[in-house]
Amino acid sequence: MDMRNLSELMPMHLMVDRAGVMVSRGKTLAKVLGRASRLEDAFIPADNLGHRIRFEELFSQLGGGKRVFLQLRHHRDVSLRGHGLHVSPDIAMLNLGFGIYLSAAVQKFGLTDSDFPPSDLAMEFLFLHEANRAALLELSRINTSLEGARQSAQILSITDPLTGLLNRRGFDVVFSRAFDARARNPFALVHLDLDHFKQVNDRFGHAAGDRVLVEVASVLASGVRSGDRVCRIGGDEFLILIFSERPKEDSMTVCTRMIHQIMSAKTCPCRITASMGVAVSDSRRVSRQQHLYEMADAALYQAKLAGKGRVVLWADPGS
Amino acid sequence: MHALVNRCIEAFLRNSYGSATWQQVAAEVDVHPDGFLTWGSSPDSVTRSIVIASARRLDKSVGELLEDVGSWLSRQEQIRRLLRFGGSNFQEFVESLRELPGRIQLVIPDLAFPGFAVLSDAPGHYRIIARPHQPGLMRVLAGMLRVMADDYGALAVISVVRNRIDIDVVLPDYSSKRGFELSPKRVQP
Repeated sequence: MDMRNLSELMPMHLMVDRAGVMVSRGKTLAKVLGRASRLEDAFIPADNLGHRIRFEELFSQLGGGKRVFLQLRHHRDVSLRGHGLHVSPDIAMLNLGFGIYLSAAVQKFGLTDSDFPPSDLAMEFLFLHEANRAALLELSRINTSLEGARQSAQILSITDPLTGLLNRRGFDVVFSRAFDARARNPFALVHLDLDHFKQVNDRFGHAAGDRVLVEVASVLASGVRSGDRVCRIGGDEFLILIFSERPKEDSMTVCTRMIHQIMSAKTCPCRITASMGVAVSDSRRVSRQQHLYEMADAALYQAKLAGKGRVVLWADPGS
Repeated sequence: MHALVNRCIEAFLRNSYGSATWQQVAAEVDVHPDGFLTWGSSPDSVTRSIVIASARRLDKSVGELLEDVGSWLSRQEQIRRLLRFGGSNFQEFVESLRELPGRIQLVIPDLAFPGFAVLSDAPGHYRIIARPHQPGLMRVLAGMLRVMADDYGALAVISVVRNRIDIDVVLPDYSSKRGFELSPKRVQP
């Protein structure tokens, strides 16, 4: 058989003699080998665990289904693997492949489709590799977009659409977290209710009523610090969380100021007043979340009874 | 139809005519303006109405629109590269088209790409026949073939009649080929 034909038929073959001289090489392998004439000029032979072995060992072990690993001496990130057999006592034939290092080898040696015989799966592997990457890219685009949609849906689900404040669902989450941390981070819970709001709706219409709610919401939102939370639980009722080392004193100051601001709001068609009940997390009585809600609600009731337009701090009836 | 088909038409419209055009089409056929996000299958009627609405809006026939989609698709660098894996010249590429459904299935197993036969009566003359009757697919494929003939630097006459494409490769090396290296240039994500 003409060696040139062999080089064409098996472009990754290597014929080597007992002394380690490469007597024939496939045309693709030739691109990898460059001008090397002895096997060990180009390769570091290794066993199946990647340990370096001498060429004599490699040569004597060929055949019997044993795998051969040849690490490229000048391109350490590419290693060939294959098998071989003795065609005569002094000549061995090896058939090699790039295995998992195919992409690296293609890049490093500028291989083209004509370097791979039709029986080789290299082209399919490269195609699949690239097609997979394209599919993953499209999937990650989808993921990013779904994640954005999920986030905005979550924000919408805890937002009151009219005022942009938290809604009850959002507030419950925030409140529950604050309640668990109340020992470290005390706070006041404020329950606010507008006075005579129903009459605003009846006299000026619901659009005017909505404008009042938006105005009040903006007074409340700008009247607290950034860590505090304001929520509209429905109708003309609001809840506020005010965090402070001295929740009693600070919340009373803040609430009094907000009541004045609400009264002097310009966009309202008539004078609006608000009543507030305050309960603080460091009261002795508080052991369950519900207690604080009940205390703030009771204080609000006191504020309404006492003539509205005021803030009342919950006081233990027993003390 | 696999949602990727709809996604392809969406991307074609956004890319060639702007997102506003896509949104008008989406509103007309009652599809979410954000487009297609899942890879499940969607009713064929959705795809059909998107195609018809797009063609009307762009003042083209459905056939012309589908050929444009095919041309656009083949010009996307990722797709162009995948297609170029088919062969080293245009004739080899055409001959390898019968493997296209298999290749697609390797990557997206549930795409259910309809098959077609590639026949040749004389060197350089090919007929591609859809089976079963898939005139829409042949239009898309014809658009792709025109772009790929250019890509390979071949001069070819390509005509579509219903579910059949006739290809006459006049000059295989008419102009210079566009480059294709097996290893892609690293694209920064």
